Amino acid sequence: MSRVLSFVTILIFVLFLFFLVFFWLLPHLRTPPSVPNQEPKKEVALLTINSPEDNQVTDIASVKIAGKTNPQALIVIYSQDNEGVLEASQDGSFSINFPLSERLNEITIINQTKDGEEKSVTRDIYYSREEL
Amino acid sequence: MKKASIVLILFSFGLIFTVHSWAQTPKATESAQDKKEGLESLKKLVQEIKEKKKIKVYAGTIKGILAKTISLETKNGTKTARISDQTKITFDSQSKEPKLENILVGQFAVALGEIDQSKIMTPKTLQIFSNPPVIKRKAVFGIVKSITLNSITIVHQAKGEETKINFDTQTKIKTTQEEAKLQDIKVGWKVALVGIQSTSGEILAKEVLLIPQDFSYLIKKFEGKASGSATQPATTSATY
Repeated sequence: MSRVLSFVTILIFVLFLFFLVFFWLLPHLRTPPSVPNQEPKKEVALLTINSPEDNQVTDIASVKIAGKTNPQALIVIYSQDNEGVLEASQDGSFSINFPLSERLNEITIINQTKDGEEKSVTRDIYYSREEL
Repeated sequence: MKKASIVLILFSFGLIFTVHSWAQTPKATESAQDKKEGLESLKKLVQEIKEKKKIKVYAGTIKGILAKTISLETKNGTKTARISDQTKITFDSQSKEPKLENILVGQFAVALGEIDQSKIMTPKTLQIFSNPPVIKRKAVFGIVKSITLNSITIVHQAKGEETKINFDTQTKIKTTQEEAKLQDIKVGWKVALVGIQSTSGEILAKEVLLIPQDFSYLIKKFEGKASGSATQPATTSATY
């Protein structure tokens, strides 16, 4: 009887250790294996504009354009009447104070990554000194 | 042997208890996280309600007019504006009477007003233009291939297209650090610029950013290949 008990206890213990090790290794098992000797992939152009929101109406003669793109991407911003060119920081963030004309400003923000990939985003901002 | 079994069982239970405790801890954090997320979403909702009360702008080509409702084809899809008796209508053409009946499909409209929950705008002001605004400015990126007294030719590093960029006295040239001059530019440097495209396709630079490093290796693959007209834009950015 005691032998059976010992056997069962050891079996439970071994099974428990097995599951412990299995769950310990699970996150590593889920990681896809790296494929060696592949050509480096082109950096996909990313461009997120945090400010301003689209379709805004403002009574201030300039707007802060800020967002995130690829590290050190080149960024060109233009509207009908104004322009700005800058380089994103090491972490990809950028910010510029952009002048507005007193009317609808169709602002285009376009970036180019180090690999030459481009992406653009537009914002419609209406500037009026009059209270609407 | 019995004692050893009891010790092993106790050890197993001990381990189970420890693992169970580990499993419980993140749940507690998740609960705090849930509360934080709930607060954040509430703040976002309040902000959204505030935003909805703000005056917004819809700009686009008139796609349809039905009674007092006009639909606009904007850059971000179709938007609807419902004209009220308080809506002030203006036309770019002085000859037209500012009435809803004079608005035609195909004209460009700029509507300013509050947006309701169903995303329909009631414009306070509706400006009607015969044509959409023309943006002559253009974004251009490339690597300097050659330089003359008042122009440079650049090559797009991905497409190989060549573009001739003209400079005038108004052109602002800079690096990320300081102001620069046309004479400072060297073959192989990368440039990003905004220019005005003439009808012939040439670009007159308004503002130029220089990256003063030799990137000529990036365009070597295009050497000897027909790279198109020197006045072809070296980028795909849209002109309106």
